Amino acid sequence: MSRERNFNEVNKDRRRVDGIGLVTGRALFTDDYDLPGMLSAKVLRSPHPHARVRSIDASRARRLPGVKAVLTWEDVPRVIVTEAGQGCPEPSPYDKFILDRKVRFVGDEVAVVAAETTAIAEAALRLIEVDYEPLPAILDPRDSMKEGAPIIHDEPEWLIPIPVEMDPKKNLCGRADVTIGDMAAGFAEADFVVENEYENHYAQHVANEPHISISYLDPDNRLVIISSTQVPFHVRRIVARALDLPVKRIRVIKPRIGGGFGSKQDIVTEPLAAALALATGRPVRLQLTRAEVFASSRTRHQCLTTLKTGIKRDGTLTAVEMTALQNAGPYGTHGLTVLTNTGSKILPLFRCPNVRFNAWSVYTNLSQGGAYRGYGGTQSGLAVNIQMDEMARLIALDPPDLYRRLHIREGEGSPVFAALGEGAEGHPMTINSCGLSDCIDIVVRESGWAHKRGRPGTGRLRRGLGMAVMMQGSSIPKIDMASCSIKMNEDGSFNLLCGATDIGTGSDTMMAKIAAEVLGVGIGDVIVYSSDTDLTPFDVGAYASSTTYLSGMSAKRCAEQVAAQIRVVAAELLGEAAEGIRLEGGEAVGTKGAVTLARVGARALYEHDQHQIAAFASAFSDQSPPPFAAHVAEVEVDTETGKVRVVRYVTATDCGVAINPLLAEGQVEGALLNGISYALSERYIYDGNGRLLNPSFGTYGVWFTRDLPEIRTFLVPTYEPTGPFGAKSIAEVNINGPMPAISNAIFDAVGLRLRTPPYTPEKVFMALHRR
Amino acid sequence: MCYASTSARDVALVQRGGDCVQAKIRKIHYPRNAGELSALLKKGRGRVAPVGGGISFSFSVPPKVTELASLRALGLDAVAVDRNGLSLGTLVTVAKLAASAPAQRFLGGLLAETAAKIAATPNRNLITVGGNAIRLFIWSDLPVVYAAAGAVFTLRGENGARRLSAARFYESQPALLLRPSEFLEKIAIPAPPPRTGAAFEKFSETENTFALVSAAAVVTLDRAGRCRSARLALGGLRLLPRVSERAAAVLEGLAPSPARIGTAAAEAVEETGAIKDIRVSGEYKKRLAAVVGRRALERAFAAARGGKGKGR
Amino acid sequence: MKMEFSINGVLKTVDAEPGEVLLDVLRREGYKGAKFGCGQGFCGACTVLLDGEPVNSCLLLAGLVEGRKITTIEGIGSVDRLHPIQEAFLDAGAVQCGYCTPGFILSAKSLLDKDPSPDEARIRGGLDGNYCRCTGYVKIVNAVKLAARRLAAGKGGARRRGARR
Repeated sequence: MSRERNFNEVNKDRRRVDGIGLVTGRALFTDDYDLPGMLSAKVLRSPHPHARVRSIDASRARRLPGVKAVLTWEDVPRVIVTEAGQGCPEPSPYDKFILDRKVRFVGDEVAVVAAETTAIAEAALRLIEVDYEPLPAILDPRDSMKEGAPIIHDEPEWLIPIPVEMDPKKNLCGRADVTIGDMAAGFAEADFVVENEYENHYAQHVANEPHISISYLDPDNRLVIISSTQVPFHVRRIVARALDLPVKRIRVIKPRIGGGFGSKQDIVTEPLAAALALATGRPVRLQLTRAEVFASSRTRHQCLTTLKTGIKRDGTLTAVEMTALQNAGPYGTHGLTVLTNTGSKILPLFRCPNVRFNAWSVYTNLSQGGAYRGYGGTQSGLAVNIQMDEMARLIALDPPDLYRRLHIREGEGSPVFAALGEGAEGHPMTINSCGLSDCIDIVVRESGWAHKRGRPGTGRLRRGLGMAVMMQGSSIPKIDMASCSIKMNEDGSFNLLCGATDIGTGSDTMMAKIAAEVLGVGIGDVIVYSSDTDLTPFDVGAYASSTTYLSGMSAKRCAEQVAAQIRVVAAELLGEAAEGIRLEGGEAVGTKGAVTLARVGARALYEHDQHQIAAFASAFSDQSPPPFAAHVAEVEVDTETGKVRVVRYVTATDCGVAINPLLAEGQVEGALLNGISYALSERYIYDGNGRLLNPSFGTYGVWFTRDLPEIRTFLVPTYEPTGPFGAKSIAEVNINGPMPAISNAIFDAVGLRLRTPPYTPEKVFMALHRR
Repeated sequence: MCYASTSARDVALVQRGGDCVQAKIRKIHYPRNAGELSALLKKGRGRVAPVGGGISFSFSVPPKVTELASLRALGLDAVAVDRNGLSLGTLVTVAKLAASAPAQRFLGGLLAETAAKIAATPNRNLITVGGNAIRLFIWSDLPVVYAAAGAVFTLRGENGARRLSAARFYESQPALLLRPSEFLEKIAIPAPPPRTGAAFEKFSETENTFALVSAAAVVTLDRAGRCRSARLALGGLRLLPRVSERAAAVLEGLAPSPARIGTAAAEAVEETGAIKDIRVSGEYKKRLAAVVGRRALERAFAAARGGKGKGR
Repeated sequence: MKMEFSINGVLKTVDAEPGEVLLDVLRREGYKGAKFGCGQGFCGACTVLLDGEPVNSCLLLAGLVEGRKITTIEGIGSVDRLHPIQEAFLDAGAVQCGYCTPGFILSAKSLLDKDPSPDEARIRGGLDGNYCRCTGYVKIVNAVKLAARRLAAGKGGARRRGARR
């Protein structure tokens, strides 16, 4: 594939194709749909972390005027599913009934009501009498596999559809144990062996739009679901299974989505909304409150990581052993795959002949883990980058030099790629594009690293700098698939239909740009419609940073086929060979003249040898080329209060060719700020009975504009030959940097090594004053 | 999921998970004057609540309340300064207070500075000083300042007006003090004597989450530079703000040295104590409060020396 | 009960429950640009302007603001003729999922109407009640700066949409 560099649309900043609807507030999000006769649904939730439901008496609720349906486990098909939005067979255990006679966390679903208004539905909830038999609960993942621990999943229907090690009797829902080389020999060779424990904490995505779906029966008795989802095709399949319906009876439509970040990669509200639509025959809207989003949707997996590394004085890594215990929560959605990614998204990054990843994912009765930007790479990035800083100091090497020495390069592979897959074998991969050294150079220069590091000052306020480097992936190799269709209109414009799910990421714009680049038109001539399971071809959905790389590739292939068809018609019009015709500026240009695409389109539709110029293409990859990034954080620690202020944060990212540079920077900055607030203030506070005490913006510390530090964003261009026009993905990687970079900066400032974020003022203060 | 605020023993950070307000409020009245309002409140016998912005109702609706009486027509939205001091009508929004030129000059701008730090822009445009004063939360900012500044609260009812000192007003939840026909009409801060300085300090983990601790200090020096009066009130430690007697005892009559200021703040923390907070340990909170209290005193004394606190 | 408001310059009479918040009333009347994000006045997705000042319509009882002037995003520009602030948001890359966008645009409008050339701190202060998780705020602050420059130069807003490139 040639390295095309003179682009017309790709790598140029353009207004997004869907921008007008968004800035005028006219774009339709799920809650903006008004359907006649629509009912409001509310969920009755468990007050216990672990309990059997002995009986439910919903009679008074059902009699309340305005209540149209109350469903309990007895009213829905008893089919075990996973609600993880992943390719089928899902690498997550089937451990959930959409309503069950057992509850497994505070906030678990017990019953659901549909009523004429939300107020009536809420009143109905209070009339449902549930007799619970509380059971002992597991509130710490360290207790999950102990002898005699309560069994959270004792249902006989539990199953895992792929051949991996899981054991619900031990509360085990994910396992990885991979060894490369000889660990004992590796550690023996080292000049320094460092071993530390790290722990990253629960967090929530806090997308602006709470989870919501609407479901109704269309005139032909098909079940339609409009949902704020990242995965419309998985929704269709999983709802079909859960409600014992054929897939063909269901249509899922994705409207505008107010952010997902992984929280909407699972099937959260759709099954219950659909069940109520079937039960009442009316449209039903189920929207979570903000408190429910915090307590009862999805979170980032908490993980306890032990990292043991051996290093030689010259900076050679001789052995890396990572042991991880991950808290999956009450259901195992993404428990295995986040676990394996904890290893696979960092261990290949640094050259080392002896590597072991030994990890467990276990059930607890706390909040439910799911997909969250970073997806394991965030967890392990914490441990590895802090330990790199520590090792660098031990061998008196500047961290940038240590990173430069060790990081994977173009042309290299890593045995970890093949050894650690997503619930299956991995896939060997050679790095075709890596700008990480340039990234490191940039952040060192722009942060003032050389003259600022190691100079904390002596007053009440101390300053420090810390670094981190990271990689992610671009789609899941050999599992993810994307497809696209394009048809041509008589004015030389095109309709592009794709399954790719724009959740705010700008994927509609990206698809239009790629197609426009191939077809020689502006993005205004490509009209995109996405993510409707009846109308658009398949796409796994917006996750695993797959959209630009994979969905974009399907758009490129599809456009190329359409271009070929255009050339045939143009050739006939121009009286010359098709091969010599170029598409540019809205025209088909030959050696003897040119015709407009409108001319071509009209001819094909109406005039001669009439046919629809159109094509269809799919893409999947056996590669997942990683984007890379380097970060430097500069902090100021107030030693009197423990408050850590981020003074400046510099990031440089290699995402190959940026299809839309401005949007790519926006992805970087969004992921980054999320990572920063995760490092410093976001956290879940539970009481002794597993109840989440702070499900609110007022007490869960996301950041607003007055918190915003100075951020400097750089994109380092490289060219990824397997990606569309050289692109890799960019959406996730940067969230993995702040936890370790800020910890390293705190160490530089006050000599405190913090390994358990968030680095709240209390944590910093108490550590400072304890010594 | 509606949680109601629990007893003062436990910091239950109040959440509203649904449509509590909509479900409970059945009627809104629009009295045209104070007399009509008082009559409505009395007749309502606890069912009717006076409301300015009504914002706190999104957190919880007080038990028994099913009707609201809007204060809007009563014209109580003025910020006025005269030689007696600063007067705030109950409907003055926090935004208006922050932007008010007279308030920015009065008492070194203490009230305006505090108001500017409350919540965020759209909240400040809705929160009224009256509602903020009466429906107290442990993180409330202005009540702490009212305590330190010796504010006087005017309640009006069917029998006329009565004035309560901040100490009296905040002896318990203010709502309990109101007689059946009464509403809060205005808040007055007395004009400070010469050589007075004031400061408000607040500490929160992020800009938009509720504060962990706060401190309001109003101090007066004598001609010789000794502390004549030191009023320090700490917020975030317990629900009801109060001026610290022990801090005053450490400082009054003596020159305000850094050591004494530090001790005064520490004493105030010990005196106030700290109720349980789900977000941080009591130990950290107390140590933090000592720092914040000290910083407030330092700034207040600097302002008193610099002559900025004499504001009119 | 019947309530009367001026919404985007038009006097409207609506039917609403006493306990209804303005957000629900507006959305029911078709003004969908104001969004539900938290219902507690933190996230600002529900922002509208009340007499030109941003407020959280999810906290505001409709019955308390009868007769006052409300501006929603539907009153700012049009699909045909975007307001310069809307143009700036698009050109600066400040729009990702768009859920927060109407709220930010209204807050920015209120800010720039009062202070046509705010510095960075003033901009951040004026937007401090609007939450965004997608952008990290950087491009949003840039958009407001860009809008301020363009408004000052008298450009923008007069451009017709025309054919997109």
